[in-house]
Amino acid sequence: MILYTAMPLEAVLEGMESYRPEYLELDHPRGKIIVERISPTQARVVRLISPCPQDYLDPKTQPGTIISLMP
Amino acid sequence: MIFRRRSRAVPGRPDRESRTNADASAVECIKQMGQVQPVPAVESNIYTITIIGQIEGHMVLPPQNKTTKYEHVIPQLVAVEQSPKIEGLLIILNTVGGDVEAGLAIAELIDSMSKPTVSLVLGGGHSIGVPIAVGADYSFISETATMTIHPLRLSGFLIGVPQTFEYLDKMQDRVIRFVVKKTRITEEKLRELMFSTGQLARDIGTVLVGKDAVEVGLIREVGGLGSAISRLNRLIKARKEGGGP
Repeated sequence: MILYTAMPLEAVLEGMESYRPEYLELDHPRGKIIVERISPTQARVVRLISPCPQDYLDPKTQPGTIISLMP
Repeated sequence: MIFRRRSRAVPGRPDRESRTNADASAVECIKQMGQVQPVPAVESNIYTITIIGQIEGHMVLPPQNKTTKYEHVIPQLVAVEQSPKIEGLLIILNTVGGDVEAGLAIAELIDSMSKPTVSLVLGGGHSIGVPIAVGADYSFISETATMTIHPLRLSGFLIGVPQTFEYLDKMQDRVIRFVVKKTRITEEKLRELMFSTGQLARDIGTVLVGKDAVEVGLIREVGGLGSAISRLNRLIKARKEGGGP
């Protein structure tokens, strides 16, 4: 991977070694959603895996959306 | 309940009951949520994609970065191309660059779309943001926005296979070739901007502000949201009449 950015690389990559997110895989009607756990009851959507392109236009599964986890 | 459908008003008589209901639900909404009712969704024939922060490619960047994830943008572009409801795409950029391959993938995909595309650079469209901005059918830059043209650095973050100078040079050629193909700028001029000294404190390269980017032939026009939307509508109209974008 080559980063082509106007920002100083040390600012971009700071904390790279210590960043260890906890990922969970949740079911989606047509595939999976990968989420990052941010608290015991909340998670942030990281990635959607679905073969249907229209699913990617759904605001509920945009990366960065906070969802609540059911216990 | 946030939305409440109004009962049909009898002509000539104020529909007092339903108005009272709507007012009451608005008050309820403010009480409960501390906010007013959201604007109802309007079906638009234009889809907007914002490219912000770092363009995240094969590696997940640490959380202090705001990122645009290419694996989400790519299927979105597929959906836009395929959807019968969407007629045009507006790309708004405010990016500092990012992964070369992810950026080029988005740029090439935008370039190969059959639907009209218009890009607008706001704030900044640096490094790998340049090919994405010029990948659209028509490009705008706001008056105060900047674009930084600089070479790929050998000190870049490299992992895996042994990286050589030639490899980096090849990657740089990919960016240059794409930009030259899509714009009025010549390869000599682009390389000259890329390797000029004395403009950036920590690097070589050039900062182009608003109309500078238009003068060197990189961006088509200086403009804002209004001009971008009206250009997109014109392209949509031309495509409908069979003229193509």
